[in-house]
Amino acid sequence: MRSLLTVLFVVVLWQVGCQLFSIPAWLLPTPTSVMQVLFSDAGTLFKSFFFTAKVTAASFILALVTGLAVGFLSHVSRGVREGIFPFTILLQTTPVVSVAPLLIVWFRNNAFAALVACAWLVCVYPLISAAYAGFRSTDPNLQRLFRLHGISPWKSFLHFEVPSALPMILNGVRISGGLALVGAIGAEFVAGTGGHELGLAYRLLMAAYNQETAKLFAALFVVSGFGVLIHFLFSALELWVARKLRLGAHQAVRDV
Amino acid sequence: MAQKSISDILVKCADVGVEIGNHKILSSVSVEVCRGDRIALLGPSGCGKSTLLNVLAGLLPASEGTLNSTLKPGDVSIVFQEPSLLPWKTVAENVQLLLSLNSTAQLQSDVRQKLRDVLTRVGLWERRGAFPDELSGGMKMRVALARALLMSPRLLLLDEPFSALDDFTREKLQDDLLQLYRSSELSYVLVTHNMEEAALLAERILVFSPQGKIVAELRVSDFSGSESIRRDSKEVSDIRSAIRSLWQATTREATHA
Repeated sequence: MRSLLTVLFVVVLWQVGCQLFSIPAWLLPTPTSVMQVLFSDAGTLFKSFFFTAKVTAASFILALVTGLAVGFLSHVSRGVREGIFPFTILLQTTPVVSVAPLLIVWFRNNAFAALVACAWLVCVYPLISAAYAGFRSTDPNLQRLFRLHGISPWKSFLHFEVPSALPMILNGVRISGGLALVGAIGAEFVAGTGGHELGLAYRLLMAAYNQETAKLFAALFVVSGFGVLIHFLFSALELWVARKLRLGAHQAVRDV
Repeated sequence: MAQKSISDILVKCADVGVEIGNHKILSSVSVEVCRGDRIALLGPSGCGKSTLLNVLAGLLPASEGTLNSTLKPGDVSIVFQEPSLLPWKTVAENVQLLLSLNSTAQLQSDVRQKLRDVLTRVGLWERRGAFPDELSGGMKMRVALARALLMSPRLLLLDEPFSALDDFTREKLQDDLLQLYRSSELSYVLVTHNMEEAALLAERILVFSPQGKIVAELRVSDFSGSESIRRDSKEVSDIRSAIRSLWQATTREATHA
């Protein structure tokens, strides 16, 4: 509630400030003019949002599958862990914009695939790291106990390792979900969309180029809103699972 | 003390050594665990007591020596220093976890009665629907003990199960363990670094040197009176003094060597 009031206070201050100091609209449009653009351009903005959402969702799902698989394999196999180590360092240290031209060359007939690949590069690492840390943090005593009583590795994985690792994995999911959007926007800035469909990054660029600052703010509002939505959706999931598993992590999530 | 026959032997290790990497953890250890035995492995942290427990359980292969065991899978159960419970499962679900995951449908049918018996024995039947975060440290440890007992083990391995508890809870659980021993055909090997605990709970105390060798075996006479009387008895005090002198001599020798 306090957060909502703060946001409301900033918006009012912004509106009053623009009018009081007669700030030109090309420099800083008022919140009401941004709202007007949001309504008048709702159709085109929704189409762009839909495109960016598709890239975000595709890259996130791809990262979820590959990140969890690589994280788990790194936990069970030292060979995999040591083998992928240089690549995980590269994933963390190489700016995605520098890789984008290469991906455009590789996927020259498929701009969507190039964007998904770019965004995947940005959001996969937190999932690898979270899955590895999650499976690694499972109670070694329980693993010994399960082994002693001849419980199959599959049952141990399903009934003990997965639920134990889930809170950390969901933490990674929350971070990765936000990064998928960052990756999708960044990729479109660098690679474009191949002229077929236009995402939110294109709207931002065009508005800046035409000095239509209200349109720029409207597109920015949609991007931010989408980012916030992703964050809250995954935070809610994390909280629900932590409560269900009685792991005490829900307190930590609430504190974030 | 009744004479033990060959058929009573549960597990026997001779001249067992364990090396992990280049570090020798156990060296020429020989132990015989028989039906009805109460053995304490006593020594400071890092002397290889828990390693020997893992070897006896079959969880860790010995680098040298021989290990003969008449125990089948499921005959051994273990209780750790931490209760190691699944926080999303109730007391009853935690206790029957191992049985429900590895038993056949036929076994499942008598689980309920067995569960009731075991939980009543550890005094937790009334709390069977509670989750671990609603229990005290001592109660959690009793859940771990019940989980091990439900498997009807021929040998129970206890890896410093009471060391993280406060004095009051520890004494209560020590008494509970002795009562469980007297009311069932339990054999146990207890890892501890507490001299009084070893004197109170074991009939044989194997004292370890910091180099991972057994330097002495002390015999404790059986006691049928109450544990609280025994705790303050001269016998426990004498055993503690004997262990202390032995320990001082061992560390002196190690320093001179």
